[in-house]
Amino acid sequence: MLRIDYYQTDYAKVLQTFADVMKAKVKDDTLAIPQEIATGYFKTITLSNGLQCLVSDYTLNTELYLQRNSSNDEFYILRFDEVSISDTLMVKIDDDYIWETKQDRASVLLNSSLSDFATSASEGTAIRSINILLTREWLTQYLNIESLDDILKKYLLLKTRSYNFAPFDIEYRTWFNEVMEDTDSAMKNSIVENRIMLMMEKFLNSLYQHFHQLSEADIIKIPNDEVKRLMEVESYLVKDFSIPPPPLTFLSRVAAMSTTTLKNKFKKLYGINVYEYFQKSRMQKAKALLLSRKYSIKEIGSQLGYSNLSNFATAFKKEFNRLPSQLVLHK
Amino acid sequence: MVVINLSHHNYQVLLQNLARQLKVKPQNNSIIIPSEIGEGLIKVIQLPNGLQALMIKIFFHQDVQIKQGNINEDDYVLNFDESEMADKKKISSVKVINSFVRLTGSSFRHWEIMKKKSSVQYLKILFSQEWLSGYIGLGEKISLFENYIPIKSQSGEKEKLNEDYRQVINEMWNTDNKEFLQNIFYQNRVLLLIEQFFTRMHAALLNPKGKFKLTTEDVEILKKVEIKLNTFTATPPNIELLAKKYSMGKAKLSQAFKQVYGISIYNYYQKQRMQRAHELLSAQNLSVKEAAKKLGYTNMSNFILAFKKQFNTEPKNLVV
Repeated sequence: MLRIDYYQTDYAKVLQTFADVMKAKVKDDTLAIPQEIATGYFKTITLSNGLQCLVSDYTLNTELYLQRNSSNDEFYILRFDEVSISDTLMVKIDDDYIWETKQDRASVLLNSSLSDFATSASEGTAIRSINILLTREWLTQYLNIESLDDILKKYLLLKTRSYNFAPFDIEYRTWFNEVMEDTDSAMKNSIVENRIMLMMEKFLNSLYQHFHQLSEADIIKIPNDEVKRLMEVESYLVKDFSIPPPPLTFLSRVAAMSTTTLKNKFKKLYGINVYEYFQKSRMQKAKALLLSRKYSIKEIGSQLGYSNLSNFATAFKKEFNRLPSQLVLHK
Repeated sequence: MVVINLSHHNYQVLLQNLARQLKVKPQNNSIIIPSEIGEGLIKVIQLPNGLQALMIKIFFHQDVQIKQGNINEDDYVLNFDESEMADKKKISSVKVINSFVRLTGSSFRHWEIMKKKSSVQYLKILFSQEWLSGYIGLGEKISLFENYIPIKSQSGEKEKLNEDYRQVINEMWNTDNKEFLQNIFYQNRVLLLIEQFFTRMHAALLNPKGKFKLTTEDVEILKKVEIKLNTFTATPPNIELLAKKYSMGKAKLSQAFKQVYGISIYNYYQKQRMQRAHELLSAQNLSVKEAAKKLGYTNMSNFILAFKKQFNTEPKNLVV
């Protein structure tokens, strides 16, 4: 097991701390993790508006315990995580623990530097993560902090009680993938930057909606363990588009609820029903593949489980109001 | 006629100037248009790194002349235009609808008369060459791309607005975002539009529609040709002579020019000629006849037709 303790006021320093403990070097803002610890990397990105981000993508070859110690400098960390847990994942906020076993999840979590935050993941666990450091100076400069502060505080109170991880939806997942994707596009930097900003905007906006416009009764009330299981259902839906989506009977076993309850609660949480979700995600994937210009329309169709190309074209047009060919051809 | 001059290298200052001219007070970086002129607003958005955006939406109650262009040497403007021109000469319901985006540099000039009941909807994003170099500074084929952008910006080539652009622009016009997210909201949309534009431009450069794969040297030659076309002569360009002068095949020259600039050599010349006509008439107070002669027209009606084609109004309307 490897344990790293750190303070988080500057991601360049955090990365250097990681490198020192791992006996590795930071090069081009990137830390290639030594093979005996994990396969993958941590890297820092500084956006042109001054925001610092820590992006990572790795699969553990040993157990890794990361402990962020609380600091008196107050700031917030917004994290987007996609994890595939091989055995166990422990998340600890101050003195509260949450244990997860053998599941996939993709979620958004905001936390404050005033609390301790630790994660411990078992060997074999795959983690992709984007952390954004929101300093008070930055929030004051770009947001109307008076109104936001209140909301952030409310949210954090809620969090420490319940660990209410908000799930990824299609938009988050599309943007997240665009950030993580390894392309040699000349536009790569701006794509990464714009997607991270969109994810943050979406999160802050949904926070605002939750705490300001809606009344208590409107706030989705689904117990946390159910949210977690629904997130697992969601990850099954987007796992592999080349085969038909898993049947409801299977998904209801994953969610440990009846098919009717699953359908209702899924819709409540994600806003659309289970198979609409599958289809929308499949079309987003199609769009991303088309825009990468690496595959023909036919190849993409078959990667996404369409044996009939005109069915693919029709489905695509239904979602985006354009044919796949119209997206590819530069007009 | 009221003249709205949007030529400026700083939109904050432009807004102050317009406010003074229209005798209104700016509030929250925007001004409401007085009702005798039209209905709508002009809004400036200040972004990090010195980027600025100008949003304009006006339905005109009287004829208005709009001037665009005249920015600093090293600046660019990305223009999204969704205007509707009412054309009095035609049947009243007929409207000319714009729907395009184009990148323009400091050499771009454009004057336009918007008739009563026309509406303009512009989104203009102003940024410096320096910012742009940093922005596209990493990735392959940069030298070619960096050459290509100034060329594209001079041609004033229009790219049709697609759904992706439209969706973002509509969001910007129809935001009901609460105050605290407003900045980030606009910032993100503007940067998305820039990203979409340059992504498409880059893709077009790497996979040109035409049959010529262009080298950096080819692009350099085309640039020289284009500069030559900018020094005005009363006689239309002779492609054969140009081809000889710059040692490029005649067919390749004319097709590659069109491929890169989006319009043919002759049309390019013609466009410059008409901009020049506009200048002679409106700024130098020449008569229509004198202007036509100066521009090498022997037949007046040909001149009038060509002018109308570009400016949607007859040359005599410009003579003071």
